[in-house]
Amino acid sequence: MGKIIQIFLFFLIILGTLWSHITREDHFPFSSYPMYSNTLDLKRDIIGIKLTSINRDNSDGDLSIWKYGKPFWTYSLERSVKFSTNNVDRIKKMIAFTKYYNLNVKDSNQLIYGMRYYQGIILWEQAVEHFKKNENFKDYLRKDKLLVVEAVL
Amino acid sequence: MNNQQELSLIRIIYFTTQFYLIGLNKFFPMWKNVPLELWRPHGLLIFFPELFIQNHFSVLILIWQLSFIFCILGLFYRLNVLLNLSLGTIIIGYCHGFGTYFHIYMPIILCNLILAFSPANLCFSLDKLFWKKNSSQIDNIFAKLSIFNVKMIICLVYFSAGISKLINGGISWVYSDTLRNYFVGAFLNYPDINYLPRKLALSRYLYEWPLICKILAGLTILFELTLPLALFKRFRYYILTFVVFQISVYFLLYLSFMSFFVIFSVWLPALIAPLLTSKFKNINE
Repeated sequence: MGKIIQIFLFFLIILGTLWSHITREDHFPFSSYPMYSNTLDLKRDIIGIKLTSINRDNSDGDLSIWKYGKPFWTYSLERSVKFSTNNVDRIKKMIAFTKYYNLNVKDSNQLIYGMRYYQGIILWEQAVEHFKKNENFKDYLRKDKLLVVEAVL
Repeated sequence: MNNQQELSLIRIIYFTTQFYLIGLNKFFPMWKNVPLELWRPHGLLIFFPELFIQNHFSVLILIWQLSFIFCILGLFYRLNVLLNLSLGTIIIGYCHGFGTYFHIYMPIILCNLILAFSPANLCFSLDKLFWKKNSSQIDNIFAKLSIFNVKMIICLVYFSAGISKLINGGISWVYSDTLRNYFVGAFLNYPDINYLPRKLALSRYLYEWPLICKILAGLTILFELTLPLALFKRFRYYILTFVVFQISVYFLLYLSFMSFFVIFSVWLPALIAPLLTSKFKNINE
């Protein structure tokens, strides 16, 4: 019986992985492990996203996600907000995250009043320049044709 | 070392590594506090009772951690390994329900699934000590199949990743500037994790050498597609390239795949035992 189960598991895992390849989607716990699998050409327009906090004066601020928003980190939160069903859903998520973030903040000066979601084309040339100098690059989205979604408490 | 002994050693090493790197990892308990407004499950995760899991998350984690100890000791193994599989799937799965998939934890669930239905308590276990059961030839074949399946997981992960690159990117994944450009992409995507590689930023030096980046891209696909060769006894040490590969990924793309060392740990008995045997042979001679 044990042998049959192991043979069954072998085929289950192979077929599960194959299924992920065919549908090009993850089916927990099966995956086709597509990380970094697409070609990346910096000469093409590539959509990027960015999340910022909203300060008391309505200006953009930096989010310390790995510090106050754990277990999310910047990339995982950006993806979570990006893959929302619509903007209403996106706003609900950002409001919920703002409250969660503020619960973890210890200094009242670091409280945030909301979040902004930016979606636009990445400025690769400038990104490469900053990358070569190993300098953080915050404004990596082109200012024109920018989708902005705002969620304020 | 026969198959049953090897499988039992795999049990001890695998569950110990998993307990240390995953079971005691503070990352998982943190998901308890994440507001459910962010809950957006995909696929099978839609069946997860998120409210129940969130309310009982601490208890579930505690039982999960205890089940690791029982699995390592091989005490009431059959019961505990199923408990470990179920709770591990729930806890790890729950963290995947907030819109981001962490591919790095998925293969662990598959390894747990295989070990949950394997005779990994036939040697070096308290079950064996208390309930002396004579193992049969059938158990040996059963153990052999289990060892093959559990070793296959890491090969399948990399093989799948290689196939995905060929399907999605094609051969131009190698000869274009893709890998080089991903170095810049990683720089933008991961500003706040893995401090050391981020500070060193070794990839910026490689970026200046496009040809070397293309060679590395080719070697990446070659490594991923050929890793299943390690399943053949003659090529088993080929699996060690995994360590070099992962350290390179950590320093160049700022991604830590510590959890993959859990699924790699199942290879350790097969890699170390022959070395020890030959050493003892030399001493005796």
